[in-house]
Amino acid sequence: MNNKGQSTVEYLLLLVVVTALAFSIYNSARFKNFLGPDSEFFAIVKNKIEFSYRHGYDSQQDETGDIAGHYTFVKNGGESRFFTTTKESYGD
Amino acid sequence: MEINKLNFSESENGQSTIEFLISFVFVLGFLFLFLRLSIVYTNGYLMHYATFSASRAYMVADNGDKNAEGSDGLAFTKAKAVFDKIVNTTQIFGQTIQLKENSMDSENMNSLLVGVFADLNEYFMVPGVTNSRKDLNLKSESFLGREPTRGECIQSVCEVIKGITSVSCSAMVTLDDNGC
Repeated sequence: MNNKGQSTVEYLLLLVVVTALAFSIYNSARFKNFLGPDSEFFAIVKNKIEFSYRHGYDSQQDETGDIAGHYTFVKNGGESRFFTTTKESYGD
Repeated sequence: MEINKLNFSESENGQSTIEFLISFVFVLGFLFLFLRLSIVYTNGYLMHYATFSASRAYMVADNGDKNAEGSDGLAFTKAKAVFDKIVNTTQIFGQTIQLKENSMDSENMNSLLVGVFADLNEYFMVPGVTNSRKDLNLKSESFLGREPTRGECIQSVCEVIKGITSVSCSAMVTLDDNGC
């Protein structure tokens, strides 16, 4: 009997354990939620980029794309932070 | 010694190379993610600049038509020409981007939102992560409005002069230089 091949066997056993751990992490719901397909992480990044690009400040509110409900210009109910002519005085 | 050198089970040669390759895949993936995002931001800034420039042209374009709305068509044509010169003649975007307008003629249009806008379609992804691609719909808007046209000025000045020269004293009018 000798010790030859012991380190190889130990290496293989450890490799199996590490591989199993890696696969279990990769296939876990939490990991997929973070980096997998349709992950929440990337959805948040997408929403933040789109919102900040359009409105110039950091948020991730739902963006409907509806121009009539534009957050930056006109809030719900027609309130605005701008001073300007109204449609009536514009000559309509 | 010669036998030990050839014995792979006892040699640690190449271990750091394998570890480097495994970690390098992840590092490279995130490196390309940030590279892609930087391209998205750069294109976005250029797009905002083009929309803003187009909006300025849209605001002041005037062909001297005596009708109040006579210059509106020209305004959008001018805006489009400015926008296309910056965006669609370059090969940066790799897509044809359509400039659109919010004019006062549009139904239920708020005067705050008169101007031009365009959509830029971009994407980002993590290389190596399947289905990580996310499409971005970037809205670039510039609502500077429209200056009163010469036609509108002519009409308003004409109304005032008519008011002054009328024999009736039923209404008071003030004739001033409002910049028209």
